[in-house]
Amino acid sequence: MNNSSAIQSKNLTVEFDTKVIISDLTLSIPYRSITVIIGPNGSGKSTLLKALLGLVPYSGSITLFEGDMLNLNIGYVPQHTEFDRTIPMTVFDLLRLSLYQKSPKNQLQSITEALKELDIEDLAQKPLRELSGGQFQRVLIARAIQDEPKLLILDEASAGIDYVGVKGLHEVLKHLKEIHNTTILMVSHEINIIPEIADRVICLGHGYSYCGEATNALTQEHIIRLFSEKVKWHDHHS
Amino acid sequence: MDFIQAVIQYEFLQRAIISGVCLGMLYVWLGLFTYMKKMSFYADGIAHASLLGFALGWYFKQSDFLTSILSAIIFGCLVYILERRTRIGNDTLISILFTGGMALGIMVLYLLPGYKPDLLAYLFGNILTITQIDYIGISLFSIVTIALGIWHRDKLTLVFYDPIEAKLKKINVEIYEFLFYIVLSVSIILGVRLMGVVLISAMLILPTFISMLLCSNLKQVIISSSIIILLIVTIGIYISYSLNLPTGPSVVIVGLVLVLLSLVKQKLS
Repeated sequence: MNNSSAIQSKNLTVEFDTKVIISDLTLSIPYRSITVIIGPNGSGKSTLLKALLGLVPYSGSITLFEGDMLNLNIGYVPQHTEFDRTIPMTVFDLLRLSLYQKSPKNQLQSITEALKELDIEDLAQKPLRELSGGQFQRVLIARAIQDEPKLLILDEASAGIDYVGVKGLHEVLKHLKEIHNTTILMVSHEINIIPEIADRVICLGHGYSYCGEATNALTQEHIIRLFSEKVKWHDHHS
Repeated sequence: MDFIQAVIQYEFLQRAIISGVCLGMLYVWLGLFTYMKKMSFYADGIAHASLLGFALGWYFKQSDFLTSILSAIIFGCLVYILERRTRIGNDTLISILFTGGMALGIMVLYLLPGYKPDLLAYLFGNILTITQIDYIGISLFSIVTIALGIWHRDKLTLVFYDPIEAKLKKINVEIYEFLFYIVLSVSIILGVRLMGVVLISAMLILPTFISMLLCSNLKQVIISSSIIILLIVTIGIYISYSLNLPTGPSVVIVGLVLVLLSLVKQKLS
């Protein structure tokens, strides 16, 4: 295994009660890469992300950024949020909270840039309770990227976003990787996006896992082993 | 006019108003986070469960104020630990502790030999009987806690609104939450002195709830809740003094009228 990987896990196992969600997973993700995690429902994709973030208990080892946690800035968009949107808070307020260590001037600059990247500058002063599901999702992505994270973790972040929005999001992710050297890890059910943006793929199935180059991942064999059936996907080369 | 003259003349009224306003301002901050964490039932539970501390104070001939605070802190710690160590739902857990604390408290009072304390005063409070020591304690605790709340306002808001994001920002969420449980428990007992066990959570929740209906951001909520608590406390004490009515219920009824007006305004807009 490469010692200078951005994310390394060795024999990672996550159990809830007596149910094993992830078993003995060893993986390595390089710096400045986009990794897409695919797999059927209940295969442990979100749990893997939570384990990497230290949000669920696990056994085995996880090393992020060679252990330099003090300087590691993480952006995260969870699959489900438990925000009480009846609490009066504007988009600007929500984004500002995560930047509490910055000066008001720098907060304004970071928030403005992030909202512009997601093409939602007009939502800045809108109360959260007035946002649609797709708009709220974009706000959460803006919050995750506003502080130029070194590690960006997205759990089905494009759910509820329209086609143009998803395309825009992919451009933002590529830009973050190229310009800010961000390492990106994302769960998606859209296998089609892999040829477009992924450098690496993690396939998580029930009792099966694969972590490797994106170009090798999209084989019929992997897909069949993952989903136990033939899946058709659009091949951008064809 | 009579009321203003009375306030100038009588020290007990000055103490009542200053204590009520200080505690009210503290509740503005605590109420916001209590609302975010959906902990209004916790406040109610702690107030009721502290009857055990009150009773033990009488039984062992110690200050019932201090034993109530101690018991509230112990109940707060118990809820905090059991919430995280067991699978019992938060509301069930509080119900068990709440009724358990009350039942034990009543039993201790029943077994108390000789003179028994006035339970009605404990249940409904009396803001007009605030002593000089109560007044100094309430004011100091409120001012220090409000100052700390203002200093840590962004961190606290992040911890209570989005604890996962707070953890990723390397904030020690558990410590903040634990301290909040303790501060809220102590504040509730300070308030019980004024408003009684039955009515105290109204003072914590009503101003925040009204502001949540009317405002569009958190800054407005804080300002609006502060104005509302000033109105509720002063008008409530005024009505109580002028019409010779019990103070706690008067304060709560003024709050309820404001809730109704806010709901009507929200419906109309």
